[in-house]
Amino acid sequence: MTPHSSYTPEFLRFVAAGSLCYARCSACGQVLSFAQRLCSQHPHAALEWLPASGKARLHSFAVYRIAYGPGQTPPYTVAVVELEEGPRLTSALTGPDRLHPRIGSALTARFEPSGRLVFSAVSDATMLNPPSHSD
Amino acid sequence: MTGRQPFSAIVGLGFSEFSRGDIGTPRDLAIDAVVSAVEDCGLGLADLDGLLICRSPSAPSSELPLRLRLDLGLGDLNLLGDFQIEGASVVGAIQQASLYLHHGLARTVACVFSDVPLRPGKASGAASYNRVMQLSGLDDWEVQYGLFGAAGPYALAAQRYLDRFGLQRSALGGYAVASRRWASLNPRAMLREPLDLEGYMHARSIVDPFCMLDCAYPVNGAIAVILTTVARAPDLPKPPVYVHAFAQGHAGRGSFRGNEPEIEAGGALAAAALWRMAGVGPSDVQSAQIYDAFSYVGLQALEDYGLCPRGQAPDFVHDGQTSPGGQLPVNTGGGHLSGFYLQGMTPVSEAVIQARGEGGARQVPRNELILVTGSGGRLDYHAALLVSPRATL
Repeated sequence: MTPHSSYTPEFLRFVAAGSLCYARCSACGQVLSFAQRLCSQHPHAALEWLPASGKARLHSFAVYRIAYGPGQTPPYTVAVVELEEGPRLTSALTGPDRLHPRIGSALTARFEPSGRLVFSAVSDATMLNPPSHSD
Repeated sequence: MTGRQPFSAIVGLGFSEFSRGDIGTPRDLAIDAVVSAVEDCGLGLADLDGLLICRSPSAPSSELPLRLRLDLGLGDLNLLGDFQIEGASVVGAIQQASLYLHHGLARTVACVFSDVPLRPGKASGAASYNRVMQLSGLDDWEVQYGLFGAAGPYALAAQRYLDRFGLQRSALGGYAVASRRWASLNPRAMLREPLDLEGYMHARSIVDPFCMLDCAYPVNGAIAVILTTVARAPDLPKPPVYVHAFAQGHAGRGSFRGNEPEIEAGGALAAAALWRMAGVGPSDVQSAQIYDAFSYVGLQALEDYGLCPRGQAPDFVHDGQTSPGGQLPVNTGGGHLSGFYLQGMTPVSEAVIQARGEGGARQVPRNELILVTGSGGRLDYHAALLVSPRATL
């Protein structure tokens, strides 16, 4: 059983290595949402971490027009993206259409030089996923 | 209608001063509100045998400690707690008190909410509510994306809704306008100057699709209510406000393909349980006092409770149905947007005023079944009451 406290660090270890991963139940294969820490049908089963394809759809977005806190210069777009595999994730939307995106549009993941995971419209993508994403 | 006895009665209502400036600590203001509420129902502090304390989820519990009972010089208590389900706390605390009273485990209970979000150096809503909400479920993940405050997470929900029903940002504006119409009739409301849709469209953007008029108006203040048993309530000076039904609904869905936590939230779960418990339905509700920290939360609740069809709340509100003179008066004190943002106590206090017939210029013509809601997290936590001045529905 994966302890609750190791879930986010595990996810972040993959991110630090340039890979976007998601967890599924090793017993039944059910993909977990990022809010879950175990499969409620198999609470003792280990989680398997698998690389995501990096393909996603825009579930929703919000454009910040004022600076609430440090580290961001408005306007900037926070997105909820739905990974091809099912789970949804909060991220940033980048690219020319970032302030006027279309919900449902196809996105692709990439890592900024800082290591931050971001998404942009497929047509805007200048850097495709590193192959490790679909290994 | 069931003809069953109510669970409890709200018999006292007390307010502290409200201000955007420094008027004391949360503990000071809570004391003021409880004393005022006890006096409102013709009782003394010595009559209380229960105290439930509610605070903002962004305020530390040390600001409103259980020792508040000692501050107030209360005697031996049968019920005490720091009640926390975020924005649903006040309604949840009233539910808890009602169960204790109904089962004879307590006799007279105070529920108090106090908050001081505006402090020197934190004079705006953005500065006061800039914590980062954990939306995805990954610890601290949202910090790097600047998802500050509650406005961003709720804006994500509103945007999803607007897109699904093919609406523009202006669809939210009718809600702000209707809130302001009611607020103009409420001496306690903070924003009372007239507002129309054009004024709304020119307001400063905060987080698209929200402008500042889509967001709650923060205030420093406290409100308390006193509940007692149904048997005792008629002997007290103020008209009792009976608690007939209550329910909670907390949608158990992580964000995943196929679900729409932004549109179909726990309110729908609570609604189904509430109607079942009371033997009534949405068409029996004569007024609704809704937790509406953002315009979209109010619109979404109207739909979750079936008070109008899904996707039609903006039209329903824009047509004036929820405004003064409309068929379903909603948030008749101005709600969180134009009245004041004291979380669950905003709708609860207005429900008590309307059920008592103390609404003055804003008194609703029909007050016999009032829906009250509380909502917290990002549409994650939800609790509701049905109250009435009548002892039987």
